[in-house]
Amino acid sequence: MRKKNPLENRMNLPQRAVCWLLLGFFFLIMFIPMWNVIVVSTSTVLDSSASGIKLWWNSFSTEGYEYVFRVTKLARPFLNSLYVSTVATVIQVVLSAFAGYVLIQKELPFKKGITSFIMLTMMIPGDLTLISVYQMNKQLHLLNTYTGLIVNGLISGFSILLMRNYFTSVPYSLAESARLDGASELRIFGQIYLPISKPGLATVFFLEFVGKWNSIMLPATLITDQDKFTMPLMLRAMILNDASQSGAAQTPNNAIMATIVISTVPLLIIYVFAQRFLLSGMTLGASKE
Amino acid sequence: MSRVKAPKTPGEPVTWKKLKKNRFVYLMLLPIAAYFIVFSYYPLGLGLVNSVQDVKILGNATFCGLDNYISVLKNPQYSQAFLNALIVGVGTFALQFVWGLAIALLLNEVRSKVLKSVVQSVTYIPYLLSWSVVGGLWMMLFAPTGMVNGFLQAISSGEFTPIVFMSEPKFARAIMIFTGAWKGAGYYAVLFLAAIVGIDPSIYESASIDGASRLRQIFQITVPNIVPTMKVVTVLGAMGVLRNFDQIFIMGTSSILDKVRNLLYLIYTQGITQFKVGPATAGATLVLIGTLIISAVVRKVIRYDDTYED
Amino acid sequence: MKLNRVLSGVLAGTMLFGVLTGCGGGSSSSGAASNAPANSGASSAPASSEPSGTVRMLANVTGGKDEDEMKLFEQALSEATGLDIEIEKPASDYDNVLMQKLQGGEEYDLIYIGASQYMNLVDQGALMDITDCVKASDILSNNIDQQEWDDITIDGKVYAGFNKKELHRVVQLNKNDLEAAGIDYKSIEPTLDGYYKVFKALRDANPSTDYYPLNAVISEAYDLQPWFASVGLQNGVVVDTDGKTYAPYSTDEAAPVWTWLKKLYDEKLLDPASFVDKTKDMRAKMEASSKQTSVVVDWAMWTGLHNAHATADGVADADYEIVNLPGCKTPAGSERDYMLVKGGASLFAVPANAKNVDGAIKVLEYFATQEGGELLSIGIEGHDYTKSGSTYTQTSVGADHANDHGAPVPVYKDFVAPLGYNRGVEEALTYLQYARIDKIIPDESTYKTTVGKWGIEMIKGNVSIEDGLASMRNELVSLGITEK
Repeated sequence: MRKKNPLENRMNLPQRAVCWLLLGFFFLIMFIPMWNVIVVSTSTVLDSSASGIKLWWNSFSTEGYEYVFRVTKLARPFLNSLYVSTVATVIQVVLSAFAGYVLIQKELPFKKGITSFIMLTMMIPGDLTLISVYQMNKQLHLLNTYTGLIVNGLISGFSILLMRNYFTSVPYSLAESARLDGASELRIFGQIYLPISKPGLATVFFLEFVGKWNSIMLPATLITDQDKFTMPLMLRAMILNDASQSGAAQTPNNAIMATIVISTVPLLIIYVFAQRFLLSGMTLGASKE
Repeated sequence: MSRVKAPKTPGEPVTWKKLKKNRFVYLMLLPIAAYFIVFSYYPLGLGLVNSVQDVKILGNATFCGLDNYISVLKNPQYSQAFLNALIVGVGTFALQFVWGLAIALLLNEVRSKVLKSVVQSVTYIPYLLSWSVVGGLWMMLFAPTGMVNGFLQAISSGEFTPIVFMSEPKFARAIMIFTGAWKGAGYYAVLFLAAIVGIDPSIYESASIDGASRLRQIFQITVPNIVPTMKVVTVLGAMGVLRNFDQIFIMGTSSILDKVRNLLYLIYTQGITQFKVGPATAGATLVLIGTLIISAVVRKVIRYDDTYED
Repeated sequence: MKLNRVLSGVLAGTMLFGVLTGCGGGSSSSGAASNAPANSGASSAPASSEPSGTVRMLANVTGGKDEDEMKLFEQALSEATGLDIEIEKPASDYDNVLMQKLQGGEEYDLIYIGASQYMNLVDQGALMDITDCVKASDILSNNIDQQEWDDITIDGKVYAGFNKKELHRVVQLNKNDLEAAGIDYKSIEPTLDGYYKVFKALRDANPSTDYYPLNAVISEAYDLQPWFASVGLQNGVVVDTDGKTYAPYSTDEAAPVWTWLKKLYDEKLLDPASFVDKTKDMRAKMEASSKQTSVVVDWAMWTGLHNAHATADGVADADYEIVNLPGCKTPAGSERDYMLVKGGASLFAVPANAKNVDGAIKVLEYFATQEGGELLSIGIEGHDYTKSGSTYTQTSVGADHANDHGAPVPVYKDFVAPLGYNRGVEEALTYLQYARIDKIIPDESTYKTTVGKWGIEMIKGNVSIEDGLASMRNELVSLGITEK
């Protein structure tokens, strides 16, 4: 961070005013829709079902939150998501670090091929593979299991790319000299690269946690056991409830909004922790060596 | 796409010695390679096989050549869908890029740590929400009684008739691009901000001593220094151009669908909801091919491969 | 140990028998179930010729609302049928999941599907023809209206049984708003002009810019049937006398109704948000908390839900009441006096690879009885409600589940709702006689999109009614939805 910049090195007043105006504008158009969610989630059923955007309460009520825990029984899906996302993300961070380390090796035969092999996986549309992925999971007995939820989508090209880029900022000479001293690759990786790469690891953890927490299509396919439903499945089912077309009730609006709030809170908490690493960890543009 | 192929590094043939030297490195790669083969490439292969078969649910699949592809391409909505996907996809990327960059550059000028953190967080949150949430929100905001019309009414003089935004084909793409960028701008902002923070402070200091104004520093130091990040962001963005489904699924009303219906949407209505496995996978294969082409073109245009080894 | 082996041998034998014969005489002994008192124990203890074994079901909305209740539900269904019931329930994206499961080789005995998927799966030969089983079953033949079977018969064959009774969309009106405008809803003249006058009066009584007398989901061409009845045109796609399919709303005979809708829009009687609103938005505007509209067309059950929501939030019955009408009267000489749309069937079909067809039929039979209907609507005894004698008392859990465990109104034709219906539903149900199911077409969403799109263009005045209808027709034909 550039805290030491000399004071005169700032914009002049009109420029700063424009800067704040723009930021304020960006802030507002991001903030207002989300504020509406919070207000509606804490309104009564009747108020929350009124149409239009609401920025202040007619009536404050926590019945939306009570509803989702009592009727929708959101506690279990919440814990499921927490468990599955955490375990899967931890494994993913480790594996991405592995792969990232592989990709910074100099003079590694087939490196270009390996990189393409990884990058191509980022372009495959889910629709093309969904049916076969299902069959695969059936054969591996992963349907309706936590393992299945963890294993699917375990590695992504993007996090490998991030780790690779982060590792390139570690001076290669460190590894070289350790190698000359006879250190094993595992040691170089574990004792030189990993400790120095905390921001990178934290960033990958955060980004992938978000992705897993929000994952819908695979869990929807793999899980038919209501004990193992995850948060986004519950939320999506609530919002897009068209199943019982000519049938009866749908979830009240305040409960839907409450679910949105509940499913966003863990991400916000992690974001707060990850934020200080995020800026140093997102090393997309790190140059080659 | 080159799979495992000999590297073209001149004058350095692959030797057993080198392979052996790197055996541990290959060992590290093993779980990853195994994973991708099982969960990406093998299903991809099966998908490709399905795309050239007449697949009957619970029945036999028979080889049918390119029939599925032809049936997809013959759909009168196909070329329009391709165009829509391209316009909305590229437009969203471009706006998100500029928007994210603007947030990053502006935030970098903010001294107060708390304010900086608050603005950064709030702009980032939309990225954490799914389209079923974001789409619903913006449909409400763009409704005749929604906030956008309320704002227009406040600044208009005389009689005001609310605009039914989501039923106006002329606004359709703009709305998709805007909301798409709204959702992702905070994310790009963080990517750019990370690159800005990584710039060596001494460059600014010497520029200050030379008397360069702050505004000049931004355009002559900050922006050029984050070009590498911009390139990566562009390459990654190019991969996503054709893959936008949820937004259109949630926000595409019948009046505007002609302007925004894209390939994945077509695959969904013409394939998946009708249990037509063959056409659905053929359509998805076309999306994959399109993505490969777009990526290759983008890499060429921005000279990505000159900057990066891979 | 030995007994177990013998038993499983018998089980396997019966299953094999079941598979070989397609359907046994499983229905004979349970023929009395229709008028038997609701007693979950009554039909247990199956005779050896009874269907047995496991029945695997893939359900969308049917069953318990959470895993614990699902277990109770399976248990109740198992006890009642003498089968071992296993129900799987995807959380969302049901169609997509169903396709993957079937394509992935899963073997179910019953799968939940809607009308559109029913036709698609029959097309691909993925469902089993159970016509003979249905005919052989007293319960299935006697307890369900023949009309229901006719609706799902394709080329003389039936491939599924019913999950629930399909209700219809009626015209719902806010009685208090009407009274404020000096209108008694029972005296509304059932013509386009009659309703126009009502809307006009409602508008005069409430000039607010947030309020519109009529709201509809025009973007998806929903909710228009009661108005098109005035010219006797049927919703959806129909087959003409020459054997070709066409969409009645796109014909020149439909012009008066589109013109009428345009007039409503021009005079600010029709909510412009109708061009973009989804059903959910329309309902929100009808609720006691909003009152932004007074007339909509929606499913019969929603009359009751609007009223129940208001009551639950302490609004006095006298201050908010939604009532029902059947819409415009058809021209003289029509087959029915009014025309309403009945919901596309929601079905349990037997996949072609089902292992226990007898068991599947047995479950379908149970769903078509009073006690089966009770399980599907008010839920599980001792959990959702308690019973002493013939008095049913709903528990707080049951109240949360709103009398819906898959079938708010079961398919059994003489079903008596033990807990009654919400205020206003009884009245809505009296109009069910005017409702017909739409012809099932494979690509319903494209039909809706196209009709909705051109309808909106005409109403907005972007094209003339004549040109709009011609464009609508052409586009439907070019997209393969209709033939002329």
